Amino acid sequence: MRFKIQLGFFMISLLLCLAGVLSYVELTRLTSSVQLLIDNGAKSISLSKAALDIIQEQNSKVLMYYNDKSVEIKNISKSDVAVTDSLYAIAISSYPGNAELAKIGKAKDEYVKILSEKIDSSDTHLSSWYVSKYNVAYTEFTNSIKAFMISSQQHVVTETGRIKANMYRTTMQSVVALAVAIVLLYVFFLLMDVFYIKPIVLMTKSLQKYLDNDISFNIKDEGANEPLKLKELILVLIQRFKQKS
Amino acid sequence: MRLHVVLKYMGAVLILNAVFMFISLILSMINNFDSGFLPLLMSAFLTLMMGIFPFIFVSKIDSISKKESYVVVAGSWILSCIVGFFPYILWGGEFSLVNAWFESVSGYTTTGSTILNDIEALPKSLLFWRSSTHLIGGAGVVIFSMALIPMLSKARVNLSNIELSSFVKANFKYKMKKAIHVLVAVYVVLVIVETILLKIAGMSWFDSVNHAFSTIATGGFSTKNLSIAYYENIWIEIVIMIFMVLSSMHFGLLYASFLGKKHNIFTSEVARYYLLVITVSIIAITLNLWTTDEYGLLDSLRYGSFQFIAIISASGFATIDTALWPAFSVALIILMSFQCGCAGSTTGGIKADRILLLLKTFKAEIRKIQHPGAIIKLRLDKESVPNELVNSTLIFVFLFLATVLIGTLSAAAMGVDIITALTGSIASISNIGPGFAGVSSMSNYDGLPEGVKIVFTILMLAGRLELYGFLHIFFIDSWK
Repeated sequence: MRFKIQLGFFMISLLLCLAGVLSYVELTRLTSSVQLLIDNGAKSISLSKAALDIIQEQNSKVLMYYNDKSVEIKNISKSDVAVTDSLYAIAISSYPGNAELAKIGKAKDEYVKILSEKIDSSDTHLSSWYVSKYNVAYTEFTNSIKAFMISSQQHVVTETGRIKANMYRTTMQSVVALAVAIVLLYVFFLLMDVFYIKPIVLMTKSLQKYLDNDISFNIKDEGANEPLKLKELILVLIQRFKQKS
Repeated sequence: MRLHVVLKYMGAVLILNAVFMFISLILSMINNFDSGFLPLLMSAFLTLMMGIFPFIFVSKIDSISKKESYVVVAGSWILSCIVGFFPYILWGGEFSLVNAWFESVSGYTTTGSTILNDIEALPKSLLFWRSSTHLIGGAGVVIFSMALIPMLSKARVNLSNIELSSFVKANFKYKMKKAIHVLVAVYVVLVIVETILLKIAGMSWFDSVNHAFSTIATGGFSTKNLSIAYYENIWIEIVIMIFMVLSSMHFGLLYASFLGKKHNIFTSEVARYYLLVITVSIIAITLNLWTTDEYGLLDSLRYGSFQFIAIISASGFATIDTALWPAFSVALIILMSFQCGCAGSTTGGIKADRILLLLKTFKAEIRKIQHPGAIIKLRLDKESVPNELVNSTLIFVFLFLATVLIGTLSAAAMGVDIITALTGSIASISNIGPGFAGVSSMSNYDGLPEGVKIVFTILMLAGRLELYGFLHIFFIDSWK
């Protein structure tokens, strides 16, 4: 009897434990998804900002050279371009398969090509180069970075929506397990009642009737082994009592 | 009523459900622990716990009363639907509480209606579980359990008497124990043969198994959003059509035909009537589609035959949107949705056996009026039909129609248009799946109000339990 009750309780406990573990797993998955989303969002903004800063600085130098030659064309260093290259490499490794990054790559290559050609050449006619070539490439480059920034934030919105829709799963495991546990507890009580409580109550009543009014001790053979054994022992005891008296 | 006895038998049915969840779980592991893994693990564990719990306390039981058997059968269906809903609700996606319940009930009752807009978004393991509910429900959750779980053998006669109608038992010329084994053996053999043929016809193994589960159970769940139309393969359609017809005929007769016995599908009056109805209706629909310039002659035959068989067999697969068909074809399909296939199969509806009996009763009544002194005996398959069976059939048909009416009124009261409400109700109680208008063959039940979805699930369960089995639940207290 003790073993069966222990087993019953063990099963209910196991069920609740599993629900807890699965809820924890879901919560961990959710937390890591949210963290990844936050990190990606922050990284895309910082990368875009750094790239835009460098390009803007470079553009200022080009403009100064174009306006009053206050900056030597040779001073527009290629190292700035190298920085944008390294930023681009980081972005590629962080967001593999991002369509907007491919556009940035193309715009960057075009911008670097136009700028490098000018730095290396001895041609001093700037106005047509600036308007028809440089400004177009510059605008294209900066726009592509902005588009990447917007797309990464849109991705954040979509992913947040998906996570929000699935957020209930962390508690649903527990809710379902709890509902099942309540059902099992009720079944547990019901079975205990049928096999242990009811037979003992009946035996007590019958024994009381026998002692008070001498009504024969007689109950149905229902219940688990232990109450049935108790019933048999009571019958033996009554028999012995009758023999003695 | 001994509740602990009832709990033990229902526990055995739950264990069978847990086994199929574990099989789906293995599939999830094979597919690199797809997103169905955790929901299925949790569901399998919960179902197993619920199933084995009564076994701790309840030892050997030799007998089960008729009243207990009714509760076991009805309770097993409802409990199976409840545990079947766990994987869906835990997975999430399109499955809200009501949607998950709808999908589960639709699966077990082999209705095949869905609330999913994007079936292909489901992981393979969950798709397999979805089809498994058809497989379990197709043979009848209790019958299937009885054949597979030896412990249930002692209660076999009482339980099977509840789950199998008198029409079903009539064509099994064996004792109940063998009849159950024949039923399940035919069921399993049909699934295996169809799987192989679908693979040969061009489906993947995964799709073949799932569609075979769906066809033989006359369910209708597909792994594709476009159902069978996705494959655009005439051979796949032919294989599925043949097995839809076979699955909607009495399994005992199929077995007898295979063994070359005298009473088989070619000599059975009901089977011949059923095949005649199919042939005549297909010709009528083909001509209607062809003459109204809907399709060419061959396409009319192809689409007409597939869609008609899909509906009359209560499978509900689709190769085309029948909502766009001319009125005559639509009316004929709706009319045949009431009847469906033969008793002793996995189909739903009133059943061809009852309709044939009613037609014979009608003929006999006419003769009685013409010859008042004549003694006219009703015979079905050369055996005389007792008056009690005629009466119970009449009451059944009345109850069936009344339930459809209640379902239609309830759905209409919740704002659904009358065609959707009526055909949705018929499709649910006959366990067909698609109806017309808002729930046509290429549509789904997602757009319906939540209340209507619940009403339809009640109809599905009532239809699957052949009304009486379901209605007994509400009168169990008055049963002494």
